[in-house]
Amino acid sequence: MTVQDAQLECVKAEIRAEADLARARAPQPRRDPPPRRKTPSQADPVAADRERIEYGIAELVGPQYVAFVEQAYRAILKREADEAGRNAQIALLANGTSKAEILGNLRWSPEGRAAGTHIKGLLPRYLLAKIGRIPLLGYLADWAIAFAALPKLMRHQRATDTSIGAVALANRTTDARLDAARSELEGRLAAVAQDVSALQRAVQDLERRAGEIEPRARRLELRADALEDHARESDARHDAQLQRADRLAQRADELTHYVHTGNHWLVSVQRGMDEVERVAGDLRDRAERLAAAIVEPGDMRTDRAERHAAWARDVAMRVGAGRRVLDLGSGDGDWLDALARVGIDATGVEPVTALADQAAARGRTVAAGDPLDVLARSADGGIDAISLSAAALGGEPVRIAQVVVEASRALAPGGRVFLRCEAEPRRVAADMPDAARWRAWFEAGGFRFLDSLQDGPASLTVLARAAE
Amino acid sequence: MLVPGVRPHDAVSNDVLGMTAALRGDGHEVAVFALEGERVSEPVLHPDALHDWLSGPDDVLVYHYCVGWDIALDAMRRTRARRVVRYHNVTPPEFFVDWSPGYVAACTAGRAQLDDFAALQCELYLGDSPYNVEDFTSRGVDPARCAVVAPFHEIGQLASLAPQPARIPDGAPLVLTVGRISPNKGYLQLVDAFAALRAEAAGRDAHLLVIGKLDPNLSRYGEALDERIAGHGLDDCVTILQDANGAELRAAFERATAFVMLSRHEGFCVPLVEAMALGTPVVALGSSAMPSTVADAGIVWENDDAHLIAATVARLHRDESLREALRTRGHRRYATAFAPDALARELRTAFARFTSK
Repeated sequence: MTVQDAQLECVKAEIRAEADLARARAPQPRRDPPPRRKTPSQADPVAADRERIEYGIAELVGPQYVAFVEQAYRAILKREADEAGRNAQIALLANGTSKAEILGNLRWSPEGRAAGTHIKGLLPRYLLAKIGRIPLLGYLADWAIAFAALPKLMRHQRATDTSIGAVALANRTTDARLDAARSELEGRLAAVAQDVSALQRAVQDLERRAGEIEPRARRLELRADALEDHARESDARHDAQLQRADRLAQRADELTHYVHTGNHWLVSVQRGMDEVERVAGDLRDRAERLAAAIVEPGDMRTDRAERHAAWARDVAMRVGAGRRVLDLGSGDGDWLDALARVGIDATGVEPVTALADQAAARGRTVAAGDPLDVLARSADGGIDAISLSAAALGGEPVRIAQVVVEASRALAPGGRVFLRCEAEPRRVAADMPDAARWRAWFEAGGFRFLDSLQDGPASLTVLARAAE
Repeated sequence: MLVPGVRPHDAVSNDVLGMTAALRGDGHEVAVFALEGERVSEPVLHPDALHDWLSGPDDVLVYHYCVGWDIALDAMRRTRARRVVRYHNVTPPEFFVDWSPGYVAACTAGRAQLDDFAALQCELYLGDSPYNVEDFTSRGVDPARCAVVAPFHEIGQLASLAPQPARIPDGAPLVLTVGRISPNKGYLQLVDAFAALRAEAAGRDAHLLVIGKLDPNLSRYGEALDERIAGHGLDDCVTILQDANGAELRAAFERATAFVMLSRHEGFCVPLVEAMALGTPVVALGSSAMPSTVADAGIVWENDDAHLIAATVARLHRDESLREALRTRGHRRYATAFAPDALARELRTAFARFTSK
């Protein structure tokens, strides 16, 4: 017990003491019902007589035989009769002693005197009974009393005869009923005996059939055991099948999940592609706007037109009018204008749509698209001369190599290449590949260098495809 | 989980729902089967569907036994699943002899099935209290098949409510009792004890608050209670609230000087735990399961003598240190034995026999 528990026990002890004090100060009304008094039928007969001291002679002499003796003891001696006393009083009755004398003997015995019960009318009868016990006088007195009572005795005798007759009649009736009942009982006993023998036969039959059934029951028991084993095995198989089904269902769920995931991924990819296309379109638009912006007229060298005119004359001199000339990277068409003025109707290709539109507005034949793609689609040996702008084609080595290969294929034998390297527009000129690199690529691709027209940083390099 | 009915704010239903949540938390799949499921969020299936769910000995059927129910007995006899009798106890019929023949018949039928369920030799007999388990061990059930897990409850939700004290009387001291108005709850004796308290100087301003519903079938007992109150002249200082809500119950526990429970028969008695959790000192009669529920966290008397109960309340009223000591013991008892985590742990241990193979 902890200290706290001990303290709590102390508190409880104090509360108990306070409750005791409160109970003493103001007891609560009783809630439980008081014990019930016994009803007369339940009462103790001795106790009932114990309190009573007045009786009439008639109520005590009414009962017969043992009941008379026991009633006399309870009324007069206020107790149950002991066995010896009961037997003695019954013996007196059997000897013809009157009830009045027996009652008187009890009443005036020492125990009866101590009890003091008063029985109205008992004393004269008791005295007469006792007088009859005096020799001779008692005999005469008995005679006198008997003689005096003779009329009453005769009436009593007649009543007794009638009563005996009635009893005899009742006895005969009872005997007849008993005989009938006995006959019926005998009949029933006979029927019961028949039933018993039938039952015995049935029992024997049942025992015989039980004997026959027993081996079959054993066989059934064995079959039941076998079935039980079979059921157990079936359960195990069933459980295994269920587990397999569960696994399959789980796999199906996983596959469904994968399909859903794939669908989701495809949708995401499609959306991504749309977004890429949209961004690419935006970038293309921005690039075109930028390209258009960097070739603003004010940004160009003022001597560009004069240079173009001089170079165009040189081209015309080297190629001649009416030849098929393809210009790659035509820009806004000013170079094509210069060529046209010397009689060369060249076809241009410009990757920047806005510039191609400007060139078309000048009345030049210019296609918007990648110059390398157009060159690659040209027929073998179908072009007499190619004019190309290094700035438009860019400086990627692989791209330069592709231009050299395609130009070698598309040019007619001895066809010319006019490579323009110009410093316009100035903002991007620093990134332009120089003429020397382009020339080196063309020479590596089998072209022969013919000439180079310089105009400051700008140059027009003339190369020729080797003849077949 | 098989139970006759599931409804809000019902002790057995709270246990069903709490056990369901705890077992799900441990990764088990759980379904609730009942003839009626009123105003609860848990889906309630009809018992006819039980056999579609219970496929074999890997499953467990938990029957919440609180009344006589032939459907459940039949289901427990037929199923191949392992069987758990979750026993909440059935009130002995003798408490109702003078009040309701219907209750006598129902309780007699309910307790008669104890022998049937004991004879089934189920895999687990799960009592709310050691007292409940005795009903089965005394009928020959192996104690190794028995376990005790206190009922799950909604005390956490009750504690989170904002108290609504408008209808709660101002008694000094305020004696509180909670539970349906039924002959086994000892309300007549409680009124006698309260009368004894009022007769003392310390109890002149005392008030008795009874929070509980009266079944119309027990109206005679309700009349007897009214007569007892009137007989003591206590009409003005006894309040019976049959329609209190959770917030009012919360306020009553907060305001009460003592929670007094003189019930003669309880399988567990959740209101005792509510009082301990909410810090109300507990005074109880040491009958049936109540001593094991309260343990050392309250004052438990071996009899319900009116003066003894009255003196206890009077002492609590004037002795702040005693109230504080009982509050501390109550909080500790709740945290260690009846908090949701503790119940889930006990349930896991009891069910370990089904999962450890």
